[in-house]
Amino acid sequence: MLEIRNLSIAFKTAAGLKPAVRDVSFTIRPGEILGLVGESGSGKTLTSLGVMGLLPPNAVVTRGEVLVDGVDLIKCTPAELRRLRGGHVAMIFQDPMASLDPIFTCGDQIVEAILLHERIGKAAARRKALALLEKVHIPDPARCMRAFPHELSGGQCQRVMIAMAVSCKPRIIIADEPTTALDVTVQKQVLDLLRGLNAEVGAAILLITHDLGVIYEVADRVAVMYAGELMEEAATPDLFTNPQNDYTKALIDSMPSLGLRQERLPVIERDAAGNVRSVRPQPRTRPAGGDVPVAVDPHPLLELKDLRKSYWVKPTPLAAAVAMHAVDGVSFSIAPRTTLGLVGESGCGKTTLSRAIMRLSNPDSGQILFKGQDIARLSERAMRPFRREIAMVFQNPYGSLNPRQTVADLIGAPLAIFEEGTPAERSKHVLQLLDAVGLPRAAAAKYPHEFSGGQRQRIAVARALALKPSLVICDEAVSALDVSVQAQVLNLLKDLQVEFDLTYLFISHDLSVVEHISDTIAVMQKGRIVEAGPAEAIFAAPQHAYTRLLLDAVPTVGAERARRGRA
Amino acid sequence: MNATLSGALVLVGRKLLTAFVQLWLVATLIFSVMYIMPGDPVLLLLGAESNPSPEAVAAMRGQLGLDQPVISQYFVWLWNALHLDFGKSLTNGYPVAKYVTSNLPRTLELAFAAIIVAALIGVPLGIAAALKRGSLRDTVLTSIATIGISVPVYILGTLLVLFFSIQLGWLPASGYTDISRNVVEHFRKLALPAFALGFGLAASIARMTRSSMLEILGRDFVRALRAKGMSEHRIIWQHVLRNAAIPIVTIIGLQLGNLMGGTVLVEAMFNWPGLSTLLVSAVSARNYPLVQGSMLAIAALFILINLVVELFYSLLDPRIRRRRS
Repeated sequence: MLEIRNLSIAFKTAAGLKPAVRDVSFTIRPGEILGLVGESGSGKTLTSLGVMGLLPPNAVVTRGEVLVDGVDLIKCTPAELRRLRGGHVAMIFQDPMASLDPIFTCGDQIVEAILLHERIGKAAARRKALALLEKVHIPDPARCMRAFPHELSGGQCQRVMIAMAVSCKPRIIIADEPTTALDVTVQKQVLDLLRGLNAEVGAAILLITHDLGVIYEVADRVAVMYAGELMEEAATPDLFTNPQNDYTKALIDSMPSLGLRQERLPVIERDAAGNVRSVRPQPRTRPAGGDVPVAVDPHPLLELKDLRKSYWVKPTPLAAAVAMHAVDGVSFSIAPRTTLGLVGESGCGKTTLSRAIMRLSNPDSGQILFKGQDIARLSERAMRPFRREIAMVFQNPYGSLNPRQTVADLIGAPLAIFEEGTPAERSKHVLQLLDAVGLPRAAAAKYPHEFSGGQRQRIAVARALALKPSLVICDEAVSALDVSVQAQVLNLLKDLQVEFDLTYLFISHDLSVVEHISDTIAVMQKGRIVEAGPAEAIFAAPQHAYTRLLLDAVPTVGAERARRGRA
Repeated sequence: MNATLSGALVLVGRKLLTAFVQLWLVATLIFSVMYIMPGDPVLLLLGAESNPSPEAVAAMRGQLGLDQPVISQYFVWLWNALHLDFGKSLTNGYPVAKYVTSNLPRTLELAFAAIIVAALIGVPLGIAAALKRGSLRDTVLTSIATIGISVPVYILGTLLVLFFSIQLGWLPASGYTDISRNVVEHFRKLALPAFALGFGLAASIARMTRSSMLEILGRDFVRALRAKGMSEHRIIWQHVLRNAAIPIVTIIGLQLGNLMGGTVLVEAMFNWPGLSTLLVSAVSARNYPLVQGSMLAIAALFILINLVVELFYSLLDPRIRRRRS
């Protein structure tokens, strides 16, 4: 059905063609789901765009064939390609909200897609669109027809995209990270939907993702890409139980997995000869003289008591404003030198809560006890000494570092703000921080754009540590990173916790990451903590229905792996 | 549906109220300018050189109501202005409102003609440049636009007159003919000032169109539309241009507003009897009621046009319709 033979894609640069995809070959049969997995920059998205003939202007196919039912798409004219697109080959994108035109209703956009490939009347197309929306299980399809994309949730938008993709009964559906922007529970629904439609329509699906869990759950076969090359292709169960390729092994190892806690996650290393292997780093020990037994402190470092924060929102222009309880009576405490994992889906109030603790916003009521003192209502001036003690690492390492400052300026900024030491002492301190987060000292003079995502997050961590805080709030700090890079940053955070006596409030939507790093866990839903307790207890026997729902929704890479990991 | 309609009415009502408050603030400012500006209108009126007697000055003050306390003058003036009575011209006693109503449509006409010329030139040029980004065509068009912005209107106007009236003899160099007297002559005389004003504006509209189009072309949904199999032509005209329209409409609206008081040079150059001409002659004659009346008219038009543009947004973008709530 879809056969890719020796596909090579290169970027046009001033220095000539720079290959990005090399000699990739695979086939997908009707009704099959092939998972294409790899890290960012591995060439998986470029491959899919090459198949659709939608490569960016600076990329070209240098070699190979893309055969759809025997027709080579590479040789098609633009007009022929256009007829195949949407009708024969459909695509679903990563960010559903951004992939819909904001100024047309969802109904109009589906109708438009139908009319592009079918000769039916407008009324018939509308009826068909409505039927499609029912098929993708959207609540209230009639309302959805009239709704604009911004009036729907991300999951609903992705359903609209899927409805549009299957509207003309395509033979092949390419889904590029279709669930990456969605919550776990929504991700599960969307994946179930895709699998169900696949069985019904009989289309072949090329599922591109960086998430091995997603692959494990839905794909029949897996192709692994690394640095533009196809590493391995195998049936899904075989790949996970018996990976042949070194990179595949390393990639599977570096993924934190539910029910399998490890002291440190293995990371992927590449030696001088270019061979890839998985290395499990040893936990860093405290510097010499530092191994004084750490007294167990009975007092929590941070304690929240019935914290509340509401926003006033107007549902319609004329309606009276109603209170939206973003944080609704939250209480928990974190012991010194431990990690509390705060889990919840988007919109549950996690970020509002972290902003309130940082006193970036003022809570309505309740107490924030930090080292026993209530900081909930301190003035900006009285809050200042506490600002040194609480630091934050944000989700997006691309957005949280000022692109016009050098790394030395960025890391040194908190020191300069608190007028810590002389400039010479500060730059020495910056170098020590770079050592601590595992970056070369030469990094100090560089700018953020010269670093990868994982390295940037290390810079952000170094900046957070500059004033020797006792509490570090990590708000989705590893969510934007690839699995292997995520493993490195998680290991780093664990090492630094021991080295600098840190306490973490680790906010994430990813349960396997939270399980890996946390000592205690709090599950948040609609502004409330529905369950809290020791990590192991919660993962072993979740009490609240919502916790169980979250845990069930996480794609897991089977029990075989857990056994292998423990062995 | 009903909720949407009432929501829209609330929106319009709120905007109107804001516009009214703005107008009142501007009116107050205009009134106070008269007391801040140097020179006594009474002395000017009676002729300072002829050394008028104190009795004559006092009589004139009484006649003009200038002997009243400032605050009561202000309220009387405001009350009259509310009834479109801006007083009488100091030089000939002719009602200011009559001047304004006869000159205002001419300025409006010139401004609209200029904006239409500007949009008709600027929008297609911007689209053409955006679609071939980085090509020779883009470079040439962008350079022309930059030159267009930087050439002062009086130089462009002079060049136009030299070429089209003197060299070719196609169009009259200046003047104004009322539309009721001769329709063809009216528009022939409108053409050159409208083009002189429009060219410079076209340049900035072209630049805004180009950058706005480029921004939308880079969005994910454009790629999704291509993946749907839609032709490039339909993607541009049906989706990209509509999304790109908001900043373009903004700049067109702002320019139209600015033109209300910004036609001075062109009106003077082409002898076009509009509001700006009126204002300039009134200022040099210290004809305060006329200054106040024409300034207020210009400000009111500016506010009105901005109001219309803002309401127009919500037609273009469903997100603004809801977000404003």
